[in-house]
Amino acid sequence: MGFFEKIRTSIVRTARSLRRRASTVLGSLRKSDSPQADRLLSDALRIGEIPSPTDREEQRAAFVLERLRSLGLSPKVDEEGNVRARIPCPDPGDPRPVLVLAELSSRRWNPLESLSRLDADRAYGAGLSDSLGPATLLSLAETLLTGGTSLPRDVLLLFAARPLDDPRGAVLRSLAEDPQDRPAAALCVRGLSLGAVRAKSLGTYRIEVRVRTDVGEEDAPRKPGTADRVAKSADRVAKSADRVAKSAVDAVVALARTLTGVTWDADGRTTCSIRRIEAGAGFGREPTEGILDIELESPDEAVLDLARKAAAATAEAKGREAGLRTEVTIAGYVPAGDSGAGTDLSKLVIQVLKEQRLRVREESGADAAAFFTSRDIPSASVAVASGREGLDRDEIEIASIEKGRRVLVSVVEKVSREVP
Amino acid sequence: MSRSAVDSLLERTWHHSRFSDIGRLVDLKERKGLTLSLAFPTLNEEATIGKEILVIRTELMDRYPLLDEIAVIDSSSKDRTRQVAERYGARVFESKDILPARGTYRGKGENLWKSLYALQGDIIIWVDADIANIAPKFVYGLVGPLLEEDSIGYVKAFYERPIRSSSGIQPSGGGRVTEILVRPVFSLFYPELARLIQPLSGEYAGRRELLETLPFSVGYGVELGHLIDVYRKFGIGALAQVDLDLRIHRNQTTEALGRMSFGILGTFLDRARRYGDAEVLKALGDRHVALKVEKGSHTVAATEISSEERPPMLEVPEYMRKFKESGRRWAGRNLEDAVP
Repeated sequence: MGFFEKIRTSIVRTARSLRRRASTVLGSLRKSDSPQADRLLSDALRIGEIPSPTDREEQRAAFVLERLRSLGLSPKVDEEGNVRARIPCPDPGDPRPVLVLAELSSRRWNPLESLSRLDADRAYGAGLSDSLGPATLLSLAETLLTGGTSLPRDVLLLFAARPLDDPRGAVLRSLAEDPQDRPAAALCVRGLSLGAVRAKSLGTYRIEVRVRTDVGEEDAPRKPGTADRVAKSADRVAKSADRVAKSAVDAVVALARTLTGVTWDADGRTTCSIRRIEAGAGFGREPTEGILDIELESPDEAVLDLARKAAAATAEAKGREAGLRTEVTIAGYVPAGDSGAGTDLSKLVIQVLKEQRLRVREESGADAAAFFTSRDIPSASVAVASGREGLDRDEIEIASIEKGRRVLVSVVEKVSREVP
Repeated sequence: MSRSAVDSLLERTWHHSRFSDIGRLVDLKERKGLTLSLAFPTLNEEATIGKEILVIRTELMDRYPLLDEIAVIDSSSKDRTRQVAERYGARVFESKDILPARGTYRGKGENLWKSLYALQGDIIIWVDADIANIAPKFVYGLVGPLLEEDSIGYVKAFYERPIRSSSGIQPSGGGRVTEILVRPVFSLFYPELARLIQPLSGEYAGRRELLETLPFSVGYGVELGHLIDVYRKFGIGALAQVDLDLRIHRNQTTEALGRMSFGILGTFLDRARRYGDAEVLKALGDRHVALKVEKGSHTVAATEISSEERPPMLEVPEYMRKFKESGRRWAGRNLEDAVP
């Protein structure tokens, strides 16, 4: 091939390449209303497929770390597995960052149903609403780093390895007490439901009661201080055996009725709700094991704590009376928080939602923001998508993701500028 | 033939993680002036195609400009496959609309053949549309060897294949046709190809200059036909394979695998005869016969399995006009000489 022929071939090839690239870019722009929302959804699908919960959520963290590093950030992982990344502003007037956090884990991952799928309007998958949180934080990082937005404060991203209500988790406490990272304000990002604002935060204890009916004589539960009498008296053992519930189903239902019938405070602001009843196993015989999950909610931290002790004691006492082996575990805790410290930020979230022409629904309930408001740090929760959280799978309205993304970016910008 | 020569494919057997630095692949692609096209052959794949396109496009077109084009070549699906694919940003073609003067057949091989005409890229990647656990590695793993090694022209995927069913994810059980039919005949006739871990995998990539020299079986035999053709025309050194870890997909019934085996064996015998590696002394049947029990007696269920084959694209005038400026040279070989 001659010299000029080579040049001609090279020019033709380059022109074809440019034409194809332009066509591709134009096609991409034409077909996607929001490339950022598409990337957010894609990340949520991929995070959602990674098994969870695990001890330190290492696989999910690895995904997040790769993304953060590709954006030029230097994320850090602590001993619990929490990932932190600081997005610096060029000239921070106040060294305290705005904290934006989400949970990495999901309690609803399923090896089959978490292999999510899409149709034209919706995404479906077990635990998908949980993975929207970390995916939204990644999208926020991308927007802040590439969108030309200049904020007067650093933004600190936290991907929490444990559910925020896990009593073993220490990351929020350590952040609040950290002289360098103690935030000026905190925003807790959750998947569902866009437009819902926790205007009234309730402290919450989630209590798991496990019962077993197949208690042998040696396993028989003993009242404190009555051990000898129980052990020595054959008559009493026989009577006790008469009272033993045959079915774990009957036992947990009876326990649930007892706990929901209790009046916890004079004005009825403290409540007990049944969140789950499960018993088994097997057919053709009496179920021998059961689980009862209850949630105690109260706006008053002191009353909540008393209710927690009373509920645990009641469950144990009723178990003993019925001759059951009973284990009571505190599975989750969210403080009542300080509604004063959260009010301004909640108002700001409502303002942004209205600016984005979204319907606002004020709700009461447990709010992770309370971890911060109880430590005098202004905080609010922000949901980023509409849809439905289901027993087997979640449904996410895909068009809502772009709205939720914009809401979060706008809230972060306003908080960064307006929080003193 | 020496043992090392027979085993040479194993030296070009890699794990996808070797190619996970996507930025480096983009550099290689740009330095070599190549363009890459991905195609999904589809037939009623609305349940999985949306996620496949979204995940691959956002990662390998938006974040990293590795792919220049993503397309769906659809066999007139009855469900919403085409609408969902368009929604997530793929170019969508109906197979019957590509090269209409050449007619149309139903089958995956037909879609692959027509995609060569419809797509623009110098490297073509084909990925099945029924993958439940799609990830970018399904594409960059296949592209990596082609970008790194100029001597490689065709890359096959392999993976563990647990089965997704109503009772959950079950360990393997996939690959029955490979182990019972394909590996035995490869061992007998083409032992170098018996080193392919999953010769029938639906994910593979190749250079246009190589692909346009290959005939395409319209139906089940397209993968096996490609392997024998590439091996006989370009040698075992043109082939590589990449481990993609895990692929979760629908399981097929034994009856469906029987029909598939019929088509694959037909293609094998055709190639073996064509290359002078075997002789078939009588006309072969054109229908797969299965037996059913109805009302206590056996009945025959005969299915016609297409043995149609499309010619190499280099023999199609429309293709030559569209791609006439293509040099059709690859790694110093004159590929026109390779056309039978």
